[in-house]
Amino acid sequence: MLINIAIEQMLTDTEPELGAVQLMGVIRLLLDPENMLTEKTDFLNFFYKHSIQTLIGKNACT
Amino acid sequence: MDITQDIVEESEDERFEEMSDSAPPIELPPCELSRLDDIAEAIANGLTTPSRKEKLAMAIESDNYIKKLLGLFRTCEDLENILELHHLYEIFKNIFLLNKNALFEIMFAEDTIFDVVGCLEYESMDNPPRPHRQYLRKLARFREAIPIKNQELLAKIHQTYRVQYIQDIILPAPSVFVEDTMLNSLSSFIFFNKVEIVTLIQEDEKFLVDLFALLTDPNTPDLKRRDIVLFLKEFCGFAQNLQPQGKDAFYKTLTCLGILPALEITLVMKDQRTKSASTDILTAIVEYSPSIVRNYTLQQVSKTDEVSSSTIYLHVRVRYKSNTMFITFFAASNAY
Repeated sequence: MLINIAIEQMLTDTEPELGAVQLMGVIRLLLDPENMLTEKTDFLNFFYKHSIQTLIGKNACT
Repeated sequence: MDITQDIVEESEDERFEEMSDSAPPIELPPCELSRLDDIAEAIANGLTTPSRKEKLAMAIESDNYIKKLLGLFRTCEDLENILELHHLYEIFKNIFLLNKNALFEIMFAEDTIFDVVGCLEYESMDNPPRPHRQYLRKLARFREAIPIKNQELLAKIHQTYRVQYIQDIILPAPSVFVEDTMLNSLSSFIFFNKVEIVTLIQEDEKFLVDLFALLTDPNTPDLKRRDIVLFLKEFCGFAQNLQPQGKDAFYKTLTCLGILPALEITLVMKDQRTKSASTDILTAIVEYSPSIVRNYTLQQVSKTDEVSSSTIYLHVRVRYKSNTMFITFFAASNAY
């Protein structure tokens, strides 16, 4: 899925200045509830269910 | 007191004369090899006031003057006459500073632009000419990696990249001596070209459909895929110049063609340039309308049971390689 691919790319980027920072910006924009329209509820549900694991993955989380 | 008033009146008269067309038109010396230094001087002198610039531009526009100058340029290059080639550099540099769209149209035509760039190579009398034409030819070969059959469109694309090169590399950058506004007609020329290119491409449905088919075909070699992604990145860049309705239509077109599934393929490719350009395209789409991507994401999964939750602030520290990156997610409250 596109958003999970974007997250994965961001996390695995070896040179953060090139891609990861930009992807982080993209993902933040996608997650900003302020600019969500009718898709807000469904999208946030989706994200909690399908994307959080990708983001946190095997890494530590506080 | 009388003297002061006289002076004021005089300068008012002078200003009036500059603004009126009562001054005679500028006549340029005949376009001959032996007169190139006079021509260079006449043109340099014509840059002093807006009125003189207008008249000079009209003189240059008439009687095929530019084509004749370029004829002299070819002769001078054959003869390796460095002095006269340098005069031609001065002449064309100053013609650019006239900032006149009509003159740009003449100079940037396909059969003249390379000679014009050639003149601009002879900036220095002491150093060898700068290889601008050589670079421009290499540039054209890269762009042709994309199969464009529409000759008008192809010519316009080539022209735009060449003129962009002239603006970015060859001409003097804005500084104390060259104002920002001095070459704004050149920027407009490029701007309108880009709008036309984006429009022409969108009108050519077959081209875009074929392009996307090639992009997503697993048999397409990686380098070709990369070139297509780079082209699409430029395409998005050009689209930034469109009016809001135009932009809306543009992103709708891209979405219908399947840009998002295509990005799923290209974002994970090993080639750094492909990845980087893919990120740029995704950024352009999300910055224009995050909803496009969200709605696509939702289409990709069937809706499952809703998760009831309250307001959550999620601070996640993710460690990768040797860096840590803080990502803060703002979640809204969902109530059912």
